[in-house]
Amino acid sequence: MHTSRALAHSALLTLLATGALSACSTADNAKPSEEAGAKTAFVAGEYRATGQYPTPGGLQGIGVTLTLDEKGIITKLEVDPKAETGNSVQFQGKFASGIRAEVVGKPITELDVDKVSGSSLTSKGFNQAVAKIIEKAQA
Amino acid sequence: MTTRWQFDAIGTQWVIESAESISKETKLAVWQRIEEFDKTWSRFRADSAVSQLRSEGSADLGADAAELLGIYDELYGATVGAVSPLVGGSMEQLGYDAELSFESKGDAVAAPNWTDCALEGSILHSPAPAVLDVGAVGKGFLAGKVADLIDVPCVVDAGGDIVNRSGGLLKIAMEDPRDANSAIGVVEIPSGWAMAGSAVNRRTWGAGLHHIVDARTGAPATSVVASWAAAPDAGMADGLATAAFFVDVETLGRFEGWTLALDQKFWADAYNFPGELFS
Repeated sequence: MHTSRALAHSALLTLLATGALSACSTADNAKPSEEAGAKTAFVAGEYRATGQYPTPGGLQGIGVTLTLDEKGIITKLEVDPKAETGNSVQFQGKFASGIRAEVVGKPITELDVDKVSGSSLTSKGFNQAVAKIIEKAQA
Repeated sequence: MTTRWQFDAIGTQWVIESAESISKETKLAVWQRIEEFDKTWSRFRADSAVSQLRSEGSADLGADAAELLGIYDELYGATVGAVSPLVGGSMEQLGYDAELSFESKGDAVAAPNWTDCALEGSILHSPAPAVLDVGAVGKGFLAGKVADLIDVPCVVDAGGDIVNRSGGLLKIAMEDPRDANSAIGVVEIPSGWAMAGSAVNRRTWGAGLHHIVDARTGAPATSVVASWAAAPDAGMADGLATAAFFVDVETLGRFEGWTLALDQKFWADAYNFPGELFS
């Protein structure tokens, strides 16, 4: 457990350093920690760690939860960028800045949202013009 | 938001929701603001200032010129010339012309160098006749200006360019480009901010032909299919969404706000994104 925790830290640091930190990594895109992965057996499970770092607003905390499989592959990683004090939201935002994830659609009717941003309301003139061209092409 | 004012202008649908009804005077001011903007910047109108640039080397682009073109200057720098207001000629070559012919006129044509132009007061000087297209920034910019005119808490939505002046957080779903009934994520936009989205699938008129064009080559962008961005400035939010088609979202991290780009395989790349993605 202790070893795994240490790995969790080093894996996180590696991810932070490369800017590949992902809020929702999957087994497909997560890479095993190369050095440690070769030598050590891992206890699969969920690990939590809290790190601290200095900011102009004082020492700040950042929470990390990650799930490892037995090969040491991170199958899930969550960063809690919640600020505890001062202006840290912005600084932690930078830590959680790079997200890369494969996305899937969720029905909008299942979401509680005020607005939808997309391109479905494209210019009417454009749509009419394209419709005319398609008609012409089919004639 | 209890009242809803809906109308069509500059080729898109506007929905303005507000807590209280908007006065007749304000509505008239909004209409005039939009008409004035369109008359200056539309490349689809023969009487516009932009159309004057086609034949003459200079045109008076009015009171918005410095601010609007200033946003372009920043994005031109950040995208190393991919986002340029001189991209109009490239678009027309691809068929997105004033007649809406959607017939390609031949090989892609790069836009003239934006840095060769000079803005003197509100007058733009170009070394050669040029076709200005402010589509990357203009709609968001105008949505922001319209929101400025409305003196009650409101949300202005100009065909997906959303300006939040509600006084509270606005929760916005990002439409799945594959399916308008689905969303790929949600995000909250604070009051005073704006969010913009851009996708190539809805404005396609032929294989690989769409409205987001790289000014350096004159060819449509290829790797990104949709993007979203938010920023305090509505014109910048709109521009960042276009810029995300050409440069890494991290490169755009120099601007206040966030950017998200979705590629053809539906991998999302986001920078400073404060919302949730569905994966």
